[in-house]
Amino acid sequence: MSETSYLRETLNRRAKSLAHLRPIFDMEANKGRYPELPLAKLDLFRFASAVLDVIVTEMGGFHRGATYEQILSALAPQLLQALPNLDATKVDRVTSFLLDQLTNERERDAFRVRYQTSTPEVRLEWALAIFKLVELRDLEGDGQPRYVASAEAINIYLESLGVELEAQQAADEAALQHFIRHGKLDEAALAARTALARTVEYTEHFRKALRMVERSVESLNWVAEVLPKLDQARNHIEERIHAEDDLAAEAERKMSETDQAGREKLVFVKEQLEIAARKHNELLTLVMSSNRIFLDEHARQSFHPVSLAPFPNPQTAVLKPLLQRPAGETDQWLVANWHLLHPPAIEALPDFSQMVTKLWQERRATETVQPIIAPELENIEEPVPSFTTEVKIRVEDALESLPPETRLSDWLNELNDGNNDARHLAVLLAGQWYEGLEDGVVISADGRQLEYSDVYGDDLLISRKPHA
Amino acid sequence: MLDAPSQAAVAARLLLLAMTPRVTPANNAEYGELLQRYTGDTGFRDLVKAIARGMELQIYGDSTVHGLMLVSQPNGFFAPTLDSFRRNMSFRERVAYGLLHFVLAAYVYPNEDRLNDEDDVLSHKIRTADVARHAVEICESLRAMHQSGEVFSEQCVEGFNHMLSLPETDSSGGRQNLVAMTRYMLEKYAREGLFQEFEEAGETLFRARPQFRIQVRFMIRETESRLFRLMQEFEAKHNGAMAKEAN
Repeated sequence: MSETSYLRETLNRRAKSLAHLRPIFDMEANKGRYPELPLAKLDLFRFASAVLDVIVTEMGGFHRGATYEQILSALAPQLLQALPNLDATKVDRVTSFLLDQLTNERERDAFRVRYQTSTPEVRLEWALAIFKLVELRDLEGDGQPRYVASAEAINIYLESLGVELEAQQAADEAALQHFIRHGKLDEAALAARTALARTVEYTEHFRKALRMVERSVESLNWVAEVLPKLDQARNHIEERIHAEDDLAAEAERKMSETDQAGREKLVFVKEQLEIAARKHNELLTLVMSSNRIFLDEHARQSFHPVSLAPFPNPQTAVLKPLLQRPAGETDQWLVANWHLLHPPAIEALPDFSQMVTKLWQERRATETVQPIIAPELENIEEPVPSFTTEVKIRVEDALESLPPETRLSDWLNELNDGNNDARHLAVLLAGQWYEGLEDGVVISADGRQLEYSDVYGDDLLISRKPHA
Repeated sequence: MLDAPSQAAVAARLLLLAMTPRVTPANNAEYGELLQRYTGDTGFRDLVKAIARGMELQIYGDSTVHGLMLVSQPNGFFAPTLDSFRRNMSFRERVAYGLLHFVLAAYVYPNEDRLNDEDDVLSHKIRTADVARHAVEICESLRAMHQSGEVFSEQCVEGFNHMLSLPETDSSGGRQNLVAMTRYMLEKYAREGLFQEFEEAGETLFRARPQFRIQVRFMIRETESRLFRLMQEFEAKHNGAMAKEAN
């Protein structure tokens, strides 16, 4: 490559990388359009970086992305530093706003930014950079969506516009080794974090490239174009894994030479290196299996006509032509092809027990309600007494059989033959006498309690005057 | 190692689990295990595919995270029907609901790149009123391009005019307006596990799940093929008429 063409390529790459910054500049420039949010006092470049920081850090973890709650809890203290009176609702709204901007909610699409690029014929032409910064994914199928940063967003976050990723990874590791060897542990911790973020970026970059290959298997020469790149990638990843192992071993050796604070920093460095090694191992598996993925995709796409691959534009190729067809024709077709619109489903069988308990209940009365006619008072019959004559006799006989000075509990013991009505009546009579309504009986309490399952309260002393 | 009948039993079970709304390998261990076997064991995969064919189903996508994505054959045993969507619909409702499905698909995936995104990418936030507005805007732009001609029955009205004959919204709470119909459709999709429903600042919003992307890929491909056939038929007729005239 000549010096001129090298310069041209570098400028083209830089111009494209700067185009990736446009959404963040637009966000800052247009913040006045959201008067309901307190954005005027916030530096949105800083807060966008804070969002990316949480996301990239979480992408290095097992879950491979950050939840909304994680982003909110990391951002809240920083927002409160800038605006101490901000309430929880506003913190939530500002966080949502930042994420909506980074995911391009307004356009519901990737960002599309024009930039100028120079051709080999030394002519400047307009090109379109199509990219995403952040996207929401259901990575584990558990319905817990996680925000994931694109390689472009990580590039912005790492302030490394237009650098060659593989070379930068090697440079990051060299810097980390230098810091560990010379005992610059603060710098080593920071460098380890950057190296991990770069590994995450490389993973995203590679996955995206592989996806592009899958999309257009027909237009690529797999053996001549793709396989050599896969070989290079495999070599690069294996080198990184070796380097990460060596650095982790070096960090461990250094631990014995340093104090407690230094050891803690080295533990952090080692953790970052281990996560990076795990990421690289995952990527290596992906590289190894990409040949099979390609073959499967090739077989799948071979059955589709070339004009239909990969997918037609839902708006221009389908919706608009369909809307121009006569409604009657569309109706006939849809009635016969409703299966296109919804997934297959198992028809719910009626639940027999539910039918018995809920659906087959007796019909509610539908007759008109008869008016209630009040009877004449003289025609009202005497109410049925609560206790029968036999019960009353039984209760009185039991009391008579006891000495004149007795206790309620003794009376109840006499009535302990399973007839609850009799015991109930005895308790009611004792209560009535306690109120002083009966002249011949004196009732008093001495603090003792009844101990029966059917009666609760004071065990009363009953004194009856002899009959006159 | 399972014997052949047991293999067939678990294969059928995998398909039934895949058809159960909101069951995923993440929330159902059995589904996860069967899916692992489906991915790793070619013999088992072929058996599942064969049983799916017998059940008049097609495996349109598979992911160890999101499960098997099934679509039905026309009039298949498990094919969804108009009645399973909404009973006793009038002609006016049927056509509007059918077209609204395509409006929603085009709104969620505004171009082929979004439709071609990786399976696990969730859609942007979807507001019922925005989808209805999108329908009106597209139909109005199509109406502006077409000269108004006389039509003799509602069957002959173009789809966009049919849609524009419905009010966008109705404050009295009626069901024959675009906002109410879109909400009904989104809620139905959410029950089927194709959309997530959530609240934000007191507003109910939706997000399309990976399963919806697969359904739309199927729906868009099949519909495009049909439209392509219609166009070819039209051209053949037109050429025939021209040839007659020339003779």
